Amino acid sequence: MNNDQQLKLQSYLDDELSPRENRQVTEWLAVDSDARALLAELKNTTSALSGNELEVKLPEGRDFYFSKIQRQLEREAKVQAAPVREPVLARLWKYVLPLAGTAAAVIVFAMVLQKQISPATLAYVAGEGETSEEMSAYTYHSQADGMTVVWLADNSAATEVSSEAIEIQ
Amino acid sequence: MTKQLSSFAGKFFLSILVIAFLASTVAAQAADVKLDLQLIWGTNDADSPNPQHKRIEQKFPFKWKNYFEVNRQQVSVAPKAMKAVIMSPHCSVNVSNLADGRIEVKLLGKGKKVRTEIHPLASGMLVIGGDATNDTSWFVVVKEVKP
Repeated sequence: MNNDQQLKLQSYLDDELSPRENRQVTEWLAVDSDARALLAELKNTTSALSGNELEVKLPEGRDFYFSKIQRQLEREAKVQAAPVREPVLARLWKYVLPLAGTAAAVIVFAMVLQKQISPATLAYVAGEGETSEEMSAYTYHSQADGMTVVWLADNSAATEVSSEAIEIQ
Repeated sequence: MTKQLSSFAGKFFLSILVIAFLASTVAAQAADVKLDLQLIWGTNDADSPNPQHKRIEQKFPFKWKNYFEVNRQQVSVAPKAMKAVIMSPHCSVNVSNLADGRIEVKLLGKGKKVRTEIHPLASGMLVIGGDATNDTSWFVVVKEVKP
């Protein structure tokens, strides 16, 4: 017999089962001698305890005794609910920490960016523009000189188009 | 109280950011852009064969030793407007003010589009050029003239 079955018998004895469960246990008891034996044992124990239970006398009246317990429970609930006041340093830290973290992240980001875009010479960048089919373009940027350079090269004849285009000489 | 203060401070700084962003956007859109355009020839020769070319002292991060100004013009471009600037008989530049802090520069050679570049004014001057014959170069410099 497992634990659930034993508990079911105890519930049967205490009349805590539903009518359906009650019927099932009755049928079960009719066929299972172990169950019947345990039920008898439980009945004996219950009757022995109920007959010999010590009577406890309350020091105060019943209502007063329970209202005292009620007040005690309420006091404890208030103590638990009261907010724990954090120390000033901890409260400050709560604001300073995110600010310091953000500032550090910004500084690191700026340093990385600075390293990427301000070399001593021009740095190659992806240009935002369109070139005619005959030409290729290479875009550079110099942060130090404040200059973006788009250098064009003729795909077919190295310099023909560009030199002709402006007739420098 | 502390929560109310931090909530107020957050809203205050957010409002400042939004106002600053809107103000800068409106200012950028409203203003004309004044631009200085130069057509420059780069060479290792000490002099230009064309006496009208004006030697310039500005240094560029290129390999040539000397630079001569072939033409220089200043234009003012209204927001969302375009101006065509003729730099030489065969080289012209169409500049558009995109009214968002950027300009569009279209370089034309012999009337044919060579390069179109979208350029943020805040990033400094724009140089568009290429190699020319006899180990020389040419380039157009576009820079904003700040008031």
